[in-house]
Amino acid sequence: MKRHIHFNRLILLMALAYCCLLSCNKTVYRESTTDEVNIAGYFDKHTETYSLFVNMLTRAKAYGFLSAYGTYTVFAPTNDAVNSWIKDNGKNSLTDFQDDELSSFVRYHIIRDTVASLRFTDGKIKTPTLFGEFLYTDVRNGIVRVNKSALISQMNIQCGNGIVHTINKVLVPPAKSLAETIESNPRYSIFTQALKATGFYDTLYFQRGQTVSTEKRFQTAIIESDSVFNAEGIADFNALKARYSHTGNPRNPSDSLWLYVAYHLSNGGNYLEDIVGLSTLYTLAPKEIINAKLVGTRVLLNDAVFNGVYEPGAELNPNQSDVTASNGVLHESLHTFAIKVRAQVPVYFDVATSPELLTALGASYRNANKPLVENGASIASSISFENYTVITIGSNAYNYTTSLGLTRPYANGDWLNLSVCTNNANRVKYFDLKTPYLVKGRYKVWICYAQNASAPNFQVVFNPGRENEQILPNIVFFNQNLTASGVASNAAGMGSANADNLMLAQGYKRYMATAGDYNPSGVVGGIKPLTGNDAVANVGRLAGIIDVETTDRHIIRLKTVSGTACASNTVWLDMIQFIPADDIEQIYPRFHPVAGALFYRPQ
Amino acid sequence: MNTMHKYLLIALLLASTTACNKWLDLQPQDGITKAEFWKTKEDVKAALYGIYSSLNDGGVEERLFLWGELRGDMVVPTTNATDDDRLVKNMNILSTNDLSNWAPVYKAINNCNLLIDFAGDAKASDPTFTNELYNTYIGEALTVRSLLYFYLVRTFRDIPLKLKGAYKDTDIQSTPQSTPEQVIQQIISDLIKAQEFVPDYHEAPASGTGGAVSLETAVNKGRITKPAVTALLADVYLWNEEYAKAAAEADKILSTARYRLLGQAGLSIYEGSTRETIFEISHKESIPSVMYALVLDARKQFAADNVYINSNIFMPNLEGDVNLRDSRSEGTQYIVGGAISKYGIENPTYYNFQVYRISDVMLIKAEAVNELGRGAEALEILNTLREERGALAATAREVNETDLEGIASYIIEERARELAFEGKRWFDLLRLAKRNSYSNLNILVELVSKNADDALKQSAINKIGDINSHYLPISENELFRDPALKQNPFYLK
Repeated sequence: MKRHIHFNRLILLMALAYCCLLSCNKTVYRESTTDEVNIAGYFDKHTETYSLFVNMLTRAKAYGFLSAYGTYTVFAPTNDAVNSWIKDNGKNSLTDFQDDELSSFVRYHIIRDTVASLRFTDGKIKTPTLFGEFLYTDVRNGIVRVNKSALISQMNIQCGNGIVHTINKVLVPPAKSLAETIESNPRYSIFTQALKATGFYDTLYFQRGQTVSTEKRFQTAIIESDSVFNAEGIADFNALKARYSHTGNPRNPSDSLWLYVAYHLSNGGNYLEDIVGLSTLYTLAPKEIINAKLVGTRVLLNDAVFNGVYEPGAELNPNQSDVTASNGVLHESLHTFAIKVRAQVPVYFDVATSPELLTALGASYRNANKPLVENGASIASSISFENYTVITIGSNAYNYTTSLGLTRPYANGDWLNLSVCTNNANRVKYFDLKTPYLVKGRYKVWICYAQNASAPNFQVVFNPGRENEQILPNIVFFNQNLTASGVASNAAGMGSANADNLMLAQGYKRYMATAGDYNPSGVVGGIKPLTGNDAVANVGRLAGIIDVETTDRHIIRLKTVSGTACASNTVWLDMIQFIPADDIEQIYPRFHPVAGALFYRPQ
Repeated sequence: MNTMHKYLLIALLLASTTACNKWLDLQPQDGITKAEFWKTKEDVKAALYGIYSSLNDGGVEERLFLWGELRGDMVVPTTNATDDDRLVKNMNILSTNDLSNWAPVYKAINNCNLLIDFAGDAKASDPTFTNELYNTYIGEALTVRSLLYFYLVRTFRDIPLKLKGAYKDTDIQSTPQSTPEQVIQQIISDLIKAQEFVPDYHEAPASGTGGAVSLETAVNKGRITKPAVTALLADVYLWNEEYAKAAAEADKILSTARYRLLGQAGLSIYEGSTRETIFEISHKESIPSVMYALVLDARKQFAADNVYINSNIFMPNLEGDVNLRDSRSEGTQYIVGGAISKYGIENPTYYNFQVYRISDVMLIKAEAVNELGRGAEALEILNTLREERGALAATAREVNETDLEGIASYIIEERARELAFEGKRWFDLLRLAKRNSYSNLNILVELVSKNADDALKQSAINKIGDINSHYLPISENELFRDPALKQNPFYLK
């Protein structure tokens, strides 16, 4: 029996041992979703690099939230950077600073957003820092710079609650306001005096803590240096005053010197990149704007073709521009620029001749047909469509013909051949055109088209979606010919001497060269007869009167409102004419397929 | 407890602890192991075809196209492209950008390495495997590997030079990067070896009716032949600024009548296997080309920048006969709307991917002799090509034969017209820019100021001044897998 017991024990022992063999080790489950550290955790791990910055953060009470949930971007100066900043301030260590000295501008290093380097541009970071002011980035020698001083030594360190960029210099918010920045630079003495004389010095002056309205918190000044003035024959402020101030009181908002200075200032802190992107700057001079564009890598102001004449613009000096002040940005122009006083002129806008479209058409201009949409985008920024996804978007084209046919000739031989209608999902419903420069004032808008029986009806909208949107009263029926004016196409109607006046009274006109017109260029052929079928299909239709408030290029939208026919390529738009509303000559000159051939009222 | 039970229990316990190794030691039923492969010459041939199918399965062609075109000026990402693609245009490339993915290329290189490593085993066991055939296979594998390394070294500069195959996980070894000089030297010595190994024809050509020129089958285009090795070697010498050698290699091809220009360009030339083609990645009677989805489909990711090309590459005649057109211009290689038609216009498309054509070799020769100071000779080659293709007077450059720099630019312009969208543009511009210790860097500055968005123009211009930025970063994934890899310093900031 004893043996049996022993044997039993042995078996039990073996079973136990076997169980032990089978038993598994305790699995360690991860209880956190990620082992990524937060920004504060990252700094703690790398004290050799960031200990001083951590000290500053702690004293500025910013350390707490960097260890908590959120989205932040921190530009973290290294210990070397902080040490040299301490030295520059004439102190020995961080303890020599007051807490509130640190608290304000440590926040200048933090953005409440995750901004990876892919979002840096040649301009400001679009989200302001917790300090309330913007940081500026650019690239020098292949390295990204912040505020034109600190170089980023390591970018895009991903942490649980945001991104760290390591920088080699402490970022100090600009100490001076725009007014003080300009004043302290000896190169701007003439402009400084002008600012003071006109009272704009106070506009550009700002002290942190001062309450200002939001739109005035940041401002942009584009100014000329003394040497630029000198080159223009303006030796000092008195010469400037003598040239512009016609009332003798530069503080008077109607004084030309006041307007001159106001024209150099605008609301909003705009770096060069923003200026180019905006393309239009609304200045402090009422209703006066500056146009900006990028040509190659040069930023040009008011560089434009105006009424057929090229006006070279003022180039900005990139080395002296993008200067950040506490309340805005300062740029320097290499040429003087001022408000131009212009008289209203009629603008005969051949829709295919905006500078943007000319560039895009290249060799096709007055040579071959070309689609207006390629690769899912308009080929020129001066023409845009409701969308680029409809099937027939590719059928919208620039067309050209050398034909001198009489039924449907086109001014300068070219026109836009478009597929637009309101009741077909395969077509766009509207398109926008950017006009040439229109001097401020009131204009009659004439839509000049070639009639197509299947074309839709358009409403014309001036500056759609903007503050001064204007919907023009007359619907333009692209399927109607000139007889819609009530004047018949026979000898008694359109053939009569009074036909033009009768049509004008109804808001119609013949815009193409017609028999009997004065023809100084002596062109032969392509001149439309007064009567019959060939006389009626080129229609100039008055859409209404617009009030242009600023001298600028504006947007005009042609939007289909009705019309059941919806074939593609039925909209044949030739010209849009803007003729000053009080100009008694609304009919002439008339146009011809031969470019540049103009026809005038019989003399 | 019953004694019986006890014994049963013991037996059970014992049984449960013995491992049944035999069960687990199974050969895979749906594949072949290395031990069973590499036995006969047919095995090696199968492996060789495996190399070619790793070239035409899409991944490699997509890489070659993107590396050569995306940073150039003739191809733009469409609205269907990824953000990564658009960031490339702005010189805003991080190591996470998909453009840095080199996996398909190294996969094909590994296939070459396996053949080079193990073809000897088959030779030892198969007495019918002749020396000649063995050399041919090795030579083809060496050439394909060299071709791929040539793309890699021009794209990434410092790359791991893997010359041993990996067929099991433990073979994968960390390989530090070689210098570009080492890679180029390896390529050159491999190609010189391959020239001895690879025959002129894989299938003897039928005698042509004309007598002088013989008709050859597509095999001689889709597989590496001796002229293909020579063309690649000439290209490598040109990149390495060894102009006399480049010209000598090009001459080996140009002195025979085997390859000829076919005159006016048409789609058939780009479809491939014509007398112009020296080497192409073949899709005929195989799988469709990936290029349809990339550059032709309605939802294509990349398109020709027509607006730019029509005014800068294929300028129309503005005087003389304005209706003339270059046979390679809009309507042939690309069509209105930006689709690139040279890879075929049907879905699916089986057009072959052209790697070297006779015109390429002509232009390599022209570039090489021009650098040797023989401008007149270079111009003569250019004019022959332009005349055959019907180039327009508007694209002719009035250059004196002593104006070597002018001719060099002219050659690069002609390459843009002749070899458009073939993954060569960026390398052409980079080769011209880096010549004589980057004396033409301004070419790349102009390039990025055309490519970059307004808001990033200045940054892009500033970045391109750093020559490290001309090479792509090592992908983040690769850095993670192989700690021996060192990132290009430009991308470390």
